[in-house]
Amino acid sequence: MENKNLQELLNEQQYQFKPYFSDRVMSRLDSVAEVAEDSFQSVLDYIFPRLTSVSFSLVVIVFMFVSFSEGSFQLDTILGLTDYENYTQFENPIQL
Amino acid sequence: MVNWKDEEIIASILEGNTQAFRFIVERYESRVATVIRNMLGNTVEVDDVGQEVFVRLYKSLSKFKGDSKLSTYITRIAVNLSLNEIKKRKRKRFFSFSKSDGTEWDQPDPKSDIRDYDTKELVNRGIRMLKPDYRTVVVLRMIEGYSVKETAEMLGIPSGTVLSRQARGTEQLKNILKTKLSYRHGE
Repeated sequence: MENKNLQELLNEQQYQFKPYFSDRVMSRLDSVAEVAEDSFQSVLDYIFPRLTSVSFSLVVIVFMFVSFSEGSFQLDTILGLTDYENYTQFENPIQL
Repeated sequence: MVNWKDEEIIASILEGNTQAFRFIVERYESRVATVIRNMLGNTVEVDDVGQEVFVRLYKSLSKFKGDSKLSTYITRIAVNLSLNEIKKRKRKRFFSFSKSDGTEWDQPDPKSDIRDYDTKELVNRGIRMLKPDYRTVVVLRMIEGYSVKETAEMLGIPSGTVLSRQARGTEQLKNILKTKLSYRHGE
């Protein structure tokens, strides 16, 4: 077989996709965009409940730590103001 | 927009006119179909791979700097995805213990079936009997008509390798077709 004959045979190797190929591509592009949006929404849906429960657990742990270390569960204790009166006695010049 | 240059259409797409991408698809779909069909044969994956080529192109349009022609860029994506598909078939064949990956003569007795194929299909099957490396070069050089330099850039190989693969691929293909065509003509 000559090179020329082979080239002639290969020149005929042109193909087309099935009809409406561009429509299929365009609809697939739309679905790709939708999937991207959906995936972002699903990430948020996944993260928020877990973030909320972890945050709540941390707050409870902090409260328990304060309660055990300070021996009480008053608002001043939680805010770290147990020795507030002693400090204000020295720092407030009006009272001096 | 039909007469617009590729760069103008791309600029329009990047400005938010997504529908302009349809013109790119319609302009290059036959080139992509030819590459994929010759690489993979007449299989159901051809259309899926073709769609994937354009989806990949769409996603990477913002990165396209225009250093090469858009046609070359698209063809490169088509070749890479076709080679991925061939690898996937090989993996599938390995795990299913099947002997055929769809790139060979599928029938156990090719002589009886060759008579039913038209010449175009016969040549296509011959191309798919080549090793993927040779097949890629034959498709790009001898069917798509890319230059040695363009083919080398597309495949990331030296020009000398393109020429040697083309020579070996052509020789193998000639031998394959000689045998198959002579069978069909009853010689």
